[in-house]
Amino acid sequence: MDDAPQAGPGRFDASFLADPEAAHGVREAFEDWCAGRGLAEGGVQDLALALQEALDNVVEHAYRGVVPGAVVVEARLVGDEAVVEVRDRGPAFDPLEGPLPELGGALEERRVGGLGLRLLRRLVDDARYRRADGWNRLVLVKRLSGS
Amino acid sequence: MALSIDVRRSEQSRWSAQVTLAGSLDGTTAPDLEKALEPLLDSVHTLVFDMAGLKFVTSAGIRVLLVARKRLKAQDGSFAMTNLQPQIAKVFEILGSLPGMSIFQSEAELDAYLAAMQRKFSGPPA
Repeated sequence: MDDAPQAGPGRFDASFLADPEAAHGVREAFEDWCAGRGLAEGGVQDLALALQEALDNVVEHAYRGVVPGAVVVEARLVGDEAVVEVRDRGPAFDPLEGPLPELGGALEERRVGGLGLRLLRRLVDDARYRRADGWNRLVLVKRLSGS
Repeated sequence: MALSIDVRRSEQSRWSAQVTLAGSLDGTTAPDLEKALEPLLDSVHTLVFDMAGLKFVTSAGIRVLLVARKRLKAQDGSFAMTNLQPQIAKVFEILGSLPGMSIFQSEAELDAYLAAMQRKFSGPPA
């Protein structure tokens, strides 16, 4: 699999049963992992928030009405980019598809999901989704040097 | 990271309150803020959030702030935030929620605003 992180010390790996507290724990562990590598703080904050929004979305929707299933988070550094993949086995859902919520309307009228997905898309440099082998696979890419 | 919520009624006007937030306002802590704000929203005109200690905010947390703002607005009240960390301000910017939200970068600015609100509101909420 071309997107699969390579095993090695430069890799973050976590899996948990979909649950809000666990999702926050994983995001904090990811921040610690980044801090341990001396990555640019602003970029890490953006990526961590994007990851949190992605995880919140999965926790809320992927296993709705069924027993919470697995969520997998893998991250690796490729050059000056951090590449984070979030996987779940819920029904196929592309969080990158469809228009972002309109900015014209009153913000408080917009759906929470719309706000989170807007953040998710705006905080990373690249985001890709695919469905493979029964998994939703969302890849978030953030450049962590330069700016 | 937990969220600490400190609610202080203004000494100058009992119709305004300051809410000091510290930590993380996210999906796991947003319900706590919602609960803390509930009694205030029917009894104050002016709500000021001091965000100096707020390190992390997600859309679930922002939602609670927006609902509070909407309720205050409905009774012609006012909602303000001060001392936002750059990362927090950036999130509000991305969501386009800065227009119409009063945000202050200094205590002096905030004091002037509060004084104006006090002149505007001399009685209980509508």
